[in-house]
Amino acid sequence: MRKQIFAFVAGALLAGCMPSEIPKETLQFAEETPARRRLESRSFATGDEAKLLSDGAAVLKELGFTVDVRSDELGFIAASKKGSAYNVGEIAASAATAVITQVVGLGGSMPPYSKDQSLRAALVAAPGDGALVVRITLQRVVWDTEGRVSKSELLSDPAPYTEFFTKLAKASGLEAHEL
Amino acid sequence: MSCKTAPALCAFAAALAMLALAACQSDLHDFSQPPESQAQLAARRSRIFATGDKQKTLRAAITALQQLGFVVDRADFAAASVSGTRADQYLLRVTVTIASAGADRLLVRAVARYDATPVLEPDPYQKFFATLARILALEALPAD
Repeated sequence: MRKQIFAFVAGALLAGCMPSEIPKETLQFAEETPARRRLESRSFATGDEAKLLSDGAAVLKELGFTVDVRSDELGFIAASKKGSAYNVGEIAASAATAVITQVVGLGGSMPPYSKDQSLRAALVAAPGDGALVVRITLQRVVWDTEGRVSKSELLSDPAPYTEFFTKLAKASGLEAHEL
Repeated sequence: MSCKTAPALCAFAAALAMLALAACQSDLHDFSQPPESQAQLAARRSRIFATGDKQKTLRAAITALQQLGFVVDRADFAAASVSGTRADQYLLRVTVTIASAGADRLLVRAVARYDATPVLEPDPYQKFFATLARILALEALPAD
């Protein structure tokens, strides 16, 4: 029996100490699709990149973003907007899981659920065919109640992109052309 | 002998296991073909481009990151550095830095990390440099 106990301890140590491997699929750098590029990009008939960047920053602020990084030399703006990610359904499911595990004697702590989220915008302006192409990427990152990233996704709904480009066209006095 | 006859031994073994597990490091590791030397790893992460235009090269690096599904979140012309995270993998970050490597030659270095773990796998770097070379319309030459 003594051997069995020590074998169990040794097994537990080995299993617990084995480091995890980086998921292979994470390192597959697939090229973007043309549809994604069209969704995120518009062309503006101007050569004044600094002004278009300023107009872009103003529109982002109007939409509730805070500009975190701006580089006129590189035609780049990074902005973010933080908010709550609480979802009543998810919290209820987490609470129900806690109750069930308590009843069957497996402990009663609530599984983590979504708590905070950040909407990140990356705006890049680049010259192209006598015009400036503005591309904005919108990403949503969600953190759970234990502070871990539980979700990270690109926004695929055209509405926020359309809203941004409509406002940018108005602010700049230029027409936003689809690619 | 069982736990009924030797409860102290069982308790000791359990406590030992808990302590050891708590102290155990279980970080992520990239097990893929580790380079034989630091020089080999540096070569995997670096390429030379026959241009002296830092601004154009940094802009091309931003475009390359975007084309590979990254959300660029840092761009610093003075530091000659840009970086981004993969949209569906917030933990995966690629940082690109540029330095002069002689007359009309730039050394472009890319470092990928998954959380805090350096990515050693060569494929992501090859893919990035191939994309950058296509955008710049220049050949990606091996770093010396």
